[in-house]
Amino acid sequence: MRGSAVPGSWTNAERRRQVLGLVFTGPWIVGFLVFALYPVIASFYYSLCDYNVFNEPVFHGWRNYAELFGEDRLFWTSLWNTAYFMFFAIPTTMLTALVLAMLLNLRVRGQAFYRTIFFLPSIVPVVASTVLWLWILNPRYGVANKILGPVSPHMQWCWDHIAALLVWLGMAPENVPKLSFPPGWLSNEYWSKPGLILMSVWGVGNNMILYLAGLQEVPRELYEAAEMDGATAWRRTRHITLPMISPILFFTLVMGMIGTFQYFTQAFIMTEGGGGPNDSTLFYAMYLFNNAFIYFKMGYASAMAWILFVLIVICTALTFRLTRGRVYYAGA
Amino acid sequence: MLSHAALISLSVVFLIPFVWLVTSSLKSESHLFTRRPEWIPRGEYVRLDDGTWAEVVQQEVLTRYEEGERRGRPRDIRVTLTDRRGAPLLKELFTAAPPADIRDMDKGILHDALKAAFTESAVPLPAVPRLKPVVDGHTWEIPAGDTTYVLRKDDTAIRVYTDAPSRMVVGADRIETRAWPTLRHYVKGIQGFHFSLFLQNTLRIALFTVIGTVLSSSWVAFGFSILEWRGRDKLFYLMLATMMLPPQVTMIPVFVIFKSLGWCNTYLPLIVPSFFGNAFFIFLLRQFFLTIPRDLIDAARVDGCSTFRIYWQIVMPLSVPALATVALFTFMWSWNDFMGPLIYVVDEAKYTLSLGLAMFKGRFASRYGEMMAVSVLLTLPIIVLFFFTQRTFIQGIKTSGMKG
Repeated sequence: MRGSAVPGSWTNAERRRQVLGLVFTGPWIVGFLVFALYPVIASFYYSLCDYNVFNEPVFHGWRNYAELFGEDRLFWTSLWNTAYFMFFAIPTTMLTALVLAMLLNLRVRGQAFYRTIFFLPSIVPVVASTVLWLWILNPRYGVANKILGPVSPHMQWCWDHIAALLVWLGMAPENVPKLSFPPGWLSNEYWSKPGLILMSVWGVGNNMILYLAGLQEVPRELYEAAEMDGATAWRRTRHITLPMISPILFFTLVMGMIGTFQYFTQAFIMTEGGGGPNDSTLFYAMYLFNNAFIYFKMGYASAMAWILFVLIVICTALTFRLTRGRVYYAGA
Repeated sequence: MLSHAALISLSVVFLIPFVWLVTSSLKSESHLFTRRPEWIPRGEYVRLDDGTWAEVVQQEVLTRYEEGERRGRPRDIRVTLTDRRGAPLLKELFTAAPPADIRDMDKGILHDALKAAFTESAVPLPAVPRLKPVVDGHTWEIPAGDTTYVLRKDDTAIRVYTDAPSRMVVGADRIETRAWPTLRHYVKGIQGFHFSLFLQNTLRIALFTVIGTVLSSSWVAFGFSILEWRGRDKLFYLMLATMMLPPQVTMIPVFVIFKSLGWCNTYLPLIVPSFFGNAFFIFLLRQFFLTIPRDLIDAARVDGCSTFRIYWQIVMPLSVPALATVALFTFMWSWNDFMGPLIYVVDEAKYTLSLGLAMFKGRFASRYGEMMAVSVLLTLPIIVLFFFTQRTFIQGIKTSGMKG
């Protein structure tokens, strides 16, 4: 019987095929055991230990978790920073990428040229782009503030009045942050994250390519039919374009969330691992890295890694739940 | 029309950082640190004796000199170079015995003293190379490089940079601002940064990683697509699931493994894992292998072709475009990788370009010209690669998006 799971009952040919299959997938299986399965288990064990690499891990139960949730102020700061970044960076980058893709999809002349320009930033090596943006965002000499310079008094005036109005309306606390213009970017705790968001907006090329590919798949007839029915451009976008590319939007949303939880290199290089000013760029993955490889608190960092894992699963599941019925899968 | 306007203005916005990167790498310091944006690289130059131009790297005004006592000896002159606001540039240029009665110390004497400092008679200072006077003490030999100080008639000193040794008359005074790009940051960046060493390191890692990934991923993908055996698809889905595993979870135990093997401060932790296949590339290649006509493989098998030969002589040659995608992306990831070298590489001699640039940034925080030059050199190969392989590239990005 073919479905039999007992190797003894296999024919020679079947056994041969089994062996060949395992020989070919063997490297991955070994890799999976050594670089995925064992580390996941070990990581969980370490998370219950006091472990600094130099000595053997000492089991001490849930103490790392208790310390993280109970006492570690920086843990909560890093979570807050990551949440802030997620809340602002993902919509901004998605919207920018979508606008660029829709503009390109108008089939204007020189489409390939524009596409290249918008895509190029995303292939710049991350260390190079970080160093570049550090210079662009230099508060005194960077090009961002040189461009903003002439308008910054007006922006200051606007912000001061908006802040005063919000306080007066009771919508903001009395000690509403005093934002200064031109922005101090990486030297100011209120401007550091917007600076990093600006940098990630520059690198939306990947998402743009995905959206553009999605847009080009949308059947033309749908637009033609809608146009005949007198649908406006906005309604065509809202009711045809967005639903048709919703699977890609959804995919990039989930990937963006996972990516933000792992946001590390840019902040690490800009602040040399410090997460300053005033811990405003201490992101979750960076605090984890610092714990592991700078303070050598491997057990503590493993606990953070597991919390990260659980948070990613929860966020992904929540996104699936919240978007159910809004993502359109052709043929499903 | 409107869409064109929007596209053009957005292109400008997206291009500004690139333009800023390139111009910054070609400007002199005096034009890097300005209030207004300058898009054309400029610098100050002096005309040398032989008709060439030397870039003025720094202009230093002699504004402060003090008298001091040293070990019982009457008095020394201390000469300090300061910038225009009076902040010291070098701690102390030189200390010399008083050339004459201290009350006579006017600017002329100081001038002589400073001149003496540049020649061999004064206390040597490592930061200030002594110039060799040629002929009569009015013309000086200027070596190639940028730490050459030249004294001018009005008691200012300038630091000049030349590509080749040249000559200069003392007090060649006219300093002109010219819209000339300077390559000094590139020269200094490449020398001071061990560029060629880091490049070799990076390429060595990338080469082995690409070979490992292409061979192992295609090998495993073959087992997941062409071969038929029980449990294959279950394992395949397990593999897809591992792609969701955040690297932070496995990072620490993997580090412990490599550390216990004594592999820290070697490239092995960066290279060896690639020989076990990469889940994403296995997936990509499997999808490609599935499009190879089944009949072709069956026919080969009937002709007595071994499984290994089917892999090596039929499937691999037919999959060159997909393998190229894998190689391209692996190379890029390896070239750009920061966290891997950051964790495992300790010795500066083993740094990769990315790690080196990041460390360089920490050490020389204000040398933006050089940092921009190195960034250009780090970015350029990737952009060139992109232009040659644009189609493969874009296709790869799309595939990575479609996998979900």
